[in-house]
Amino acid sequence: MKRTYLYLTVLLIVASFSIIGCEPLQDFDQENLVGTWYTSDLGGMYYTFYENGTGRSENSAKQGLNFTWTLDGESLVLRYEGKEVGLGYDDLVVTTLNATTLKCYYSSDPSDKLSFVKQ
Amino acid sequence: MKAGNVFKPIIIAFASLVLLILVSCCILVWVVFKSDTPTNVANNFMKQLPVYTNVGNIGLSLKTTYPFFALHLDNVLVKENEESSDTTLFVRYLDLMLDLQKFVQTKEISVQKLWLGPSVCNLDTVVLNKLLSGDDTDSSGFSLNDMRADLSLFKIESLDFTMPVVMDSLQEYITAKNLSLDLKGKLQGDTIGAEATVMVPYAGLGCSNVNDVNIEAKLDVLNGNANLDLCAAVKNVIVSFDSLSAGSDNISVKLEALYSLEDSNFNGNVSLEMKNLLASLNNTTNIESDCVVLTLSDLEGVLDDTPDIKGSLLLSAGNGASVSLVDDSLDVSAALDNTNISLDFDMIDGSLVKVSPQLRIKSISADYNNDCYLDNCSFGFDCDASLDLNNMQIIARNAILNLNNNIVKADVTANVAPSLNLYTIVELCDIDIERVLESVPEVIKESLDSIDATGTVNAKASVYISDVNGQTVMEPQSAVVSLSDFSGRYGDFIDAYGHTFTLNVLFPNYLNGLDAILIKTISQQSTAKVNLDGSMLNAKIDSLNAYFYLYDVRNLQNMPRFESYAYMTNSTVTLDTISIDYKLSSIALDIENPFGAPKGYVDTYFDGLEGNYGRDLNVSFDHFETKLNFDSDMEQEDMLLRWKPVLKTALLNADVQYHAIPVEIPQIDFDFSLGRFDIHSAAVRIGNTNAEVSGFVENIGDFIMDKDTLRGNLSVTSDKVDLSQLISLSNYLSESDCNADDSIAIDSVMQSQVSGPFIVPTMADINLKTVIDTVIYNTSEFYDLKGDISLFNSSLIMQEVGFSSKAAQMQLTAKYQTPVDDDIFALIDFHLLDIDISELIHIIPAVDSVMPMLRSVDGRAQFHFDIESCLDSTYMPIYPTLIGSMAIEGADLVVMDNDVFKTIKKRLLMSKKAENKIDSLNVEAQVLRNRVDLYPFLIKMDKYQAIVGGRHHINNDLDCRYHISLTKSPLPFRLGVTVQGALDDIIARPLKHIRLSKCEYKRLYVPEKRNITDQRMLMMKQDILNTLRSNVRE
Repeated sequence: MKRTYLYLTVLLIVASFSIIGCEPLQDFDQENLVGTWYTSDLGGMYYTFYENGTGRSENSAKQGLNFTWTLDGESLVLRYEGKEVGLGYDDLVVTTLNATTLKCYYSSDPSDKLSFVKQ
Repeated sequence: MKAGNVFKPIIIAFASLVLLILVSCCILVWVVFKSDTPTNVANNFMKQLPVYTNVGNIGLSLKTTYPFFALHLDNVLVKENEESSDTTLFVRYLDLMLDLQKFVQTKEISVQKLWLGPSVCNLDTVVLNKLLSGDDTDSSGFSLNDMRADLSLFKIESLDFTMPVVMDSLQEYITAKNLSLDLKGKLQGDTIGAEATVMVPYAGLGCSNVNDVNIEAKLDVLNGNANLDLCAAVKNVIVSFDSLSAGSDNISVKLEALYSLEDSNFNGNVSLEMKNLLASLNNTTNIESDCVVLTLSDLEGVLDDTPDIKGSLLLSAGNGASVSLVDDSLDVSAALDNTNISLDFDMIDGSLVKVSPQLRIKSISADYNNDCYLDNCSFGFDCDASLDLNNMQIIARNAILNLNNNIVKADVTANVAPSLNLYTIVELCDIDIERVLESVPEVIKESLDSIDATGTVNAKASVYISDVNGQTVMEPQSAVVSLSDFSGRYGDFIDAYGHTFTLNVLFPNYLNGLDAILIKTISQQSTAKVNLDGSMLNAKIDSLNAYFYLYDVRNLQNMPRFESYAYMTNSTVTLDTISIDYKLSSIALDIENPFGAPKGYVDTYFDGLEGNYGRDLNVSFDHFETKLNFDSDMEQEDMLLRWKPVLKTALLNADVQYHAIPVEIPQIDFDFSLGRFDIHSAAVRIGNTNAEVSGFVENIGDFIMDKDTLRGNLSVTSDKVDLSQLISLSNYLSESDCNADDSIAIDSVMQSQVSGPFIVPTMADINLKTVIDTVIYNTSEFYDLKGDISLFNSSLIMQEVGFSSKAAQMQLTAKYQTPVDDDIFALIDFHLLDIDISELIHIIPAVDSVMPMLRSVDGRAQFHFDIESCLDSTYMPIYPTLIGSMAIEGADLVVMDNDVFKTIKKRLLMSKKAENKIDSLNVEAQVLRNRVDLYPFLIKMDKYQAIVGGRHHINNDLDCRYHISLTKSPLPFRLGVTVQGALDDIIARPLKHIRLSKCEYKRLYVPEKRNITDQRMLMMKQDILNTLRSNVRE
């Protein structure tokens, strides 16, 4: 019986944290995303988002990859395809998106953050 | 002026004098019976002479001297004419005594005494002409045949004589001072006996002069035979004509001659001796000798219109003879001690002369520019020659020149007129090379110090010299040089020996319609050692036959064509640890225009070759043959275009042993040209591996010139490829090379960096079809490896190469493309289907580092991997373009280590029935730029369920973050463990980087609880897996 109470107590505590931890999903304006963004990641990369949902990430030497993008709420997913066989994803969570600034982190590791400046 | 012309006026003058005496005798007789005074009579008579003559006093006596008639003349004067102031002849007095009684009784003129006192004779040109013009009339009707005369004494006491002569357009004078003559003789019809002594203290001609001329002569004419003995001696001879100047202390001449007046036969001997001879020509050529003796002996013959003359000539020069030639640029001197020249000659019919000269010099020394070239060498020359004066042909046979017992023979045939044609054969006989080298001048010896050579040389050469359009053209006909037992050494660099060596040159040699030079070389049992920068090259050739042809050499418009053929048997060549032996080889060359744009062929042929490189490499083959045709275009830069080679190659049964790994090449047979490269067959066995290549490549020339696409179709078939053995061989060789010379390795790396990446040609379409029955890698065997490797559109593609094995089926596609947007592009698409996981790690050890847990798992899985990236010039990926993914699909996998599993089972409170089995395993990972993401995957075992995922950064620290969510367990709560930090630090201090965390993937595999993020992640996993699967060929 004591064990049952103990479980219930822990469950209530966890449930209350869960309720407190749930934040409402933010919506960001896709129009703000369209354009070219610069990040210092990888020694300096440019991400260009086109209105039609395509884009390209490249360095200053124009070496990079094409992608398609979707912005759903705060979720920004970039799907990269290589020239012939490569496939990969960037699954990002946007925290800030305005006319000049884009800040986000990888969904798999919130501590791994990216910061962009509009060009 | 000839000697005959010189003495003719003298004879005429004295003949006139004798005539005058005879006339005087007649006057005497006439006076006896007439009453006119003798002087008036004489003067009246002399007025009839062509020159003015005057006699001072004439005294006659018969009474007191009877039976002798005596005549005395004084002051006899002869001039050109009366008014002339120049005296032609002046005789102080003349005494004549005749035996009158004897003349009356026997009609014999007996002169007891004819004495000329001091006289002067100056013959000038005008007087001479007058005397000569009157010569014929005066001598006509005068015959000695019927004369009988006895001259007891004819003496010229003292005569000063002068006569002009013209020499080389210059008038010179013959002079004689105090000439005295004693003459006695008897003339009876055609029988003559006479003795004369002439002494001239001084005589001269121009700048030439002599002293103390002493001539003694005796003439007997009897029964139509004339016998002449003459001795002459001259002192202090100085001769100077034009560029010739000569001098001798003493010259003596002896002449003995017998001449038949009836049939013109003659015989006799002549000797000439010159003491202290010194001669100079042009002040450049000087001859000097203590004593020169010239003897003409055994002279005999017929002096008619077609004279026959034969005899012997001997010229000997004693000690101290020397010849020197000195001018501004040349200084040659030769000392000729004890020189003898003998010459037997025979002139037949005045046209054919046969001579046999012999020259012997006991010791000859020669200097050139003060350097000694010959030092006390013996010299000899012998020859049999004939000179055809009618046909102007010279033929010399067996001419032998002997210099220090080194013999040179020569045969010469020459036509001198109307144009020069000379054919000669020169032969060197048994020349001792060592002796020749010893005789080499000191100045040359210095440069030959390091040369030692022994052996014998025989050589024979023929040369044709002709006069073509006024120019002398020399054409060698043939030459043969033979060396026997030749041994030569040049310092420490070359040491050679040849038992026999023959070099044969023939020209012209009409082949293929062209005149050619043929050089033929034959060598037997030759050895050679050559020092190449400290390494000794040893060569031994049992026999060598080589032929060299030079065609059309006289066509100056074109370069000659060169053809060669060499044939060698049983040869050995070694260099340090390299040795090559072969039983038979031949090389044939044919090159047209060798010094311009060469064109021709090179054929090589080897039989039974074996080569070694130390103990590590041994190469042998039964047969190797190449036929190379080329046609060069020197304006082309590319080597293939420049030479346009057409090559046929065949190799049979080659064996290569390299570091104990046998390589066999049963056959290589290919044809190459700029149009097409056909590999008929190329088979090789390396250890356990064998392969055979065949196929073709075409349009090579057009491809180089960017005119057309390089096309080809090749195939490689193999029964077995032992990849492990090949890799270990490659590693072994790499280590050997590194150990051998690190600097070379470094250099080669540097060079490869400088040379840049491999650029795949744009205009190429080549396909290599590969069929390998079995590939052995470690302990794994793979079967039916098939696939195409193609070169197309700047890409090197390994297209869907597949194989099967006990462990898996493999499919591989790889591509290397240059340039794409100025970058190299590469991709790999690799699939291992239905593979044993332990084999997967075995084949691809890198998987173990990504998923270490796989090492403890057994079972079958699917492995998919693809990646692509642009590369820089060092083949490193350009990270912004790096993208790839990997997937492993497994089911019913078994944890292999049972003891460990039991321990885990006990500690994790698993049920007793729990099996060491993982129900399913679906792992997806992606490589994107500088990150490697391991998508969360589920592992289920008994009551436990865990989800693992994480990320790896490709940076200096190799930062990583992995998370394990324990979503099912006997525990009442879900547990998460996160490992984060730099990889090296995690390994060093794991506890510092492992922490408990919230369970991040608790809903991922609970469908009813998944949120959007979870669904998206699973969608990504599935998308990656589907994409990878889609690349698998059915």
